[in-house]
Amino acid sequence: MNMMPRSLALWATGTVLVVFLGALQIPLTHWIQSRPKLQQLTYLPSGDYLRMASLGYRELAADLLWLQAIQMMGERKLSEDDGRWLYHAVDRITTLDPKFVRAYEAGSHALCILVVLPEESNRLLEKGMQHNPQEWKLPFFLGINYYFELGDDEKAAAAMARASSLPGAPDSLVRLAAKLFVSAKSPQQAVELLAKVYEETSDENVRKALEVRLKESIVERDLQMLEQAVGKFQAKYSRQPERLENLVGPGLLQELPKEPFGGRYFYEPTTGAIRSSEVAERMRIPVRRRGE
Amino acid sequence: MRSLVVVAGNTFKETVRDKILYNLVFFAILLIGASLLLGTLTMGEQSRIINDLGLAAINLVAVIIAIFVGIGLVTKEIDRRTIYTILARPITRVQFILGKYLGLAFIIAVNIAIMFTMFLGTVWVSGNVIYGSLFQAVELILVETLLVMAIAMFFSTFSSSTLSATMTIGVYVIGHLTSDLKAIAEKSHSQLTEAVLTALYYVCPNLELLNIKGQAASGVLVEMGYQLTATAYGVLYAGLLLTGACLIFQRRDF
Repeated sequence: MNMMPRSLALWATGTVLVVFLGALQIPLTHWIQSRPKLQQLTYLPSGDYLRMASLGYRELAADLLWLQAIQMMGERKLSEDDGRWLYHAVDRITTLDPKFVRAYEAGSHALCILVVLPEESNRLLEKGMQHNPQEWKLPFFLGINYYFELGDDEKAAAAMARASSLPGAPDSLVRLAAKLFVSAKSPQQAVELLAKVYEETSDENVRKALEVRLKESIVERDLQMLEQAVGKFQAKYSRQPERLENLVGPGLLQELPKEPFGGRYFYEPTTGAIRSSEVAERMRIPVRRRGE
Repeated sequence: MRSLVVVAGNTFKETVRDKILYNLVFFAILLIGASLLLGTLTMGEQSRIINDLGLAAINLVAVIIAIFVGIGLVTKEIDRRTIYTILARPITRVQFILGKYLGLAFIIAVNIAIMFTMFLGTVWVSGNVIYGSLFQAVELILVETLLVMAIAMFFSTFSSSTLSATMTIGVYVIGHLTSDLKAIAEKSHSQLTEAVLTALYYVCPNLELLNIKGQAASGVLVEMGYQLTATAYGVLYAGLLLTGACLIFQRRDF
């Protein structure tokens, strides 16, 4: 046999193999792509194993997983199952690299926006806070989640207060935290927080804004205290008080609070409403929560 | 001293002729390509990904060269029987081993320096900050590579190339797991497992001590004291292995 037909046979074999390979690859690719993207992460072992298996290249492994995970976040709407896979993926990424702040942030966002899984979202944020205690955004998002998604004002306020105390946090956070404390029916905590920050701040503009919010919080605290006293008065005497001065007495108030803006508190005996002469509106957060 | 320099110089030339520096082209393509591509895929973390990728690539390329060239330095001379002509000259066996080591160490240092320059270039061109911690990380990568090279040479003085490569990779893997080994040993119920793992912990080099890539990529500096201690640890360990290699090599018959 001369050289020509022999190499021809090899070329022919090669071509046939390429054709077969192509024919196999098309259904295989189709099969893989038909599975939801997120479920491709199902068989990922736990973060601790991945941490060991990636030897000294943990951050690189975290980056690669992260790049996969964010491609999945690109889907417009995720099913609840997809959301759980996403949680698992981000949980593993952050176990590989606990300092990956961006992964906590984006993951917790996606878990509240693309799918409603606030508990998982909060778990990520709390894990992030544990490993990155200096990052103000993590407790900030935690506070937002507690307020909007879970309706837990108390925890929202605590998280926001923590965020406001961290370096780099915007000045307005402390005022937001105060509002949340008021919303959680703990105006005294709002007053204490604001007073503390007011003492520590030297910037004149910030101090001014803080002073206003501090006084508003005091008004709010006083109003809530007066309302409680009205309730107690009614329980004790089975009638409405006629004037605020009636509220001073044993088992009620020791004295009437002073309005911090220099005005005074008014009482409407017919409706039972109490208001300040200086503050037109009660302190509240003018946004709707999920489900409202 | 002169013989040492001659052996080192020859090793350097020989390795360059082996086209070992070609890896730099791959490195450049990998780094620049990856930073361009991945930068568009990620959101907000481009700098981190470039840093992670660059440091990991430098580390991996350097360790691969250290292992695969390191094991060949001695075994190749024996296989080709060139060792006879070398040792017939006024060169002691210790000088031969140390010269080989220094030659490769030099080429690896040059290699890392070039890769690091390319890496810094990529960081700079992509408009990110060049952290001081990157220099710290790369210094410890060099120390780790020198240590891995010493491990490879140690094994190659008494076993075949394949076996040396396997054992060096084994030690490299264990070296990155030692802290986990200790944790597992403490949890283990079997006395034997605990004894073996504890022994491994103390015998194998702890390469994780030399790994600061993660924090370096986010720009967090390590303390100078730590940097120096870790460097001293790596260099002393490499020295110990080289001493062992010299001892074994002196007793070998050809």
